[in-house]
Amino acid sequence: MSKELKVIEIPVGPQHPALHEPIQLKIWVYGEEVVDVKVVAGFNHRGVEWLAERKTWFQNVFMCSRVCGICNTVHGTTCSQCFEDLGNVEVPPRAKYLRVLVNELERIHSHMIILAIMAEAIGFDSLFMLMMRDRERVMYLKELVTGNRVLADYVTIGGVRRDVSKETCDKILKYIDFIEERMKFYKKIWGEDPIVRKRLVDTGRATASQALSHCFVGPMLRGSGVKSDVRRDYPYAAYDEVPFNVITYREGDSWARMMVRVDEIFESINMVRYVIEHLPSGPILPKVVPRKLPAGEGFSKSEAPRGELVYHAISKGGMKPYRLKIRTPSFTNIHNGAFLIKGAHVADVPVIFTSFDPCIACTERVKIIDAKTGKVRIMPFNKLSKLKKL
Amino acid sequence: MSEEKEYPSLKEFFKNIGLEVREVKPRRYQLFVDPDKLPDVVKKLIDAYDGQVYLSTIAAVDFIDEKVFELNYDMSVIPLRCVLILKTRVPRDKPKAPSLVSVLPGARPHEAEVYDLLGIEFEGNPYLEKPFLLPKELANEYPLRKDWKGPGKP
Repeated sequence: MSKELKVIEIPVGPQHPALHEPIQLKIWVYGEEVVDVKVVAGFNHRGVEWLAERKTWFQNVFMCSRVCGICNTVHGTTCSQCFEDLGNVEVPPRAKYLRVLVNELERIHSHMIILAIMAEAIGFDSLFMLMMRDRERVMYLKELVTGNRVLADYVTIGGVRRDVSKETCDKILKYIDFIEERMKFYKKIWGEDPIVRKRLVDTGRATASQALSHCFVGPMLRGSGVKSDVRRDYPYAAYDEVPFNVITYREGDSWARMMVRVDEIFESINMVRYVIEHLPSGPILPKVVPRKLPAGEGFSKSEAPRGELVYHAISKGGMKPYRLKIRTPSFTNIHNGAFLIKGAHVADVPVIFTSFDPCIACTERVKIIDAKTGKVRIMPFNKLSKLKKL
Repeated sequence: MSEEKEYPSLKEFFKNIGLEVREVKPRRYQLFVDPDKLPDVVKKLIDAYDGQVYLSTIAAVDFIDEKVFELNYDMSVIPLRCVLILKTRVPRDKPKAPSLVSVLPGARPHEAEVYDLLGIEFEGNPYLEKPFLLPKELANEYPLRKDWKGPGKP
């Protein structure tokens, strides 16, 4: 048995049921330290952009909602906005407010799930259970408004597909108070708990200039102190009328990225209250929505829970787009953020990767190769997370 | 990087470097740039706005009738809170464009994606690989080209 350490390649992924989609991280380790990392993607490439060129405008709105499970409403919203931009379709004010309502409910439950997953990744299983239990209330509210707890298909070209009643609004206000109370408790844990802070503070630190030059988006950019939010910078729906603060943290580490999400939940709660109190009356769809759109270009972007989501459509007129480009926030955050894993310990890899809020599965079972003996062990994700000494 | 600093408008900035930008929609600007000049323009843009510029995506389109590929670089300029679409065209029979990786490292996966799906080579990007997103069976094919007929069909 030699005592010399060698650089070893460890494949992390591509199967991981705790997250949503498969991706592989190839990491090269020298002892405990990660010296290089490569992202291997494409396990879930479904050719959506190719398919979009063969579907009608309306079919595309439904298909694009299926690009992502957790943030399906924001995909539907952005796709509809892109086509509205192309066809100059005017959206009624009530529909704009309802789009904000559903998108903010989605942001609350999406941030809660990644906070819960992070709690599990650092071995804080009771926090994971509690947050997932409370998240279910938000899912219930989403079901009340849209008719479905996950895949809503709520937004369509020109407006939204269902209206809300007075009773639904009252119920949302009642439940959202409960969520706020619970989140105050969770904020205290995320901000002050010594175990949480020991695992998250200083892991995967990115400076503001690194975050900008590597084109990070969303909470990853705001966690590095850059004040950038599509809702403020390039307002869509009714975001130019609904007041909110852009949350930033200067630290740039995994903890800052999670705290941005915690604070954004409070902003979203206030926005939901504002929308319900100021909901304009009127129709939710225009009288006529065109089935054919003119030749030209449509562009739309929005602030998905994970960051900026971009749709860019090129049309030559007719029933179908000539080209539809979709750029999801996780694409840029995962591929460009991988450099943050370099220099970290093996046990920090899941923590840093989870702090990206990746919309992709990866590290449920990891093959650990003992550098000294060459012995191969298969280890579940949660055990790997607990390896780092506290 | 303070928010209070005064930055020139995009119209002023492009006028200073001898180009003209068009506001196509509120907060959305667009202009055509020669592919060879693109890295230089992006470098100047990044310097002028203290690095607070990022690349959202590269939307590549195959205009088969005109025998060109159009590349739409969707940029975001944070201090001005606006979107800038830099358009460039490369010939279909010689699909090569200079890479932005040296001026903006974040362009790496976007260029790799375009290379994988449409086969446009970005000169100076050492990370281009094929397949990047596609399965291994499609390693020599470009599905988003308009003349692609299906897997394995010439």
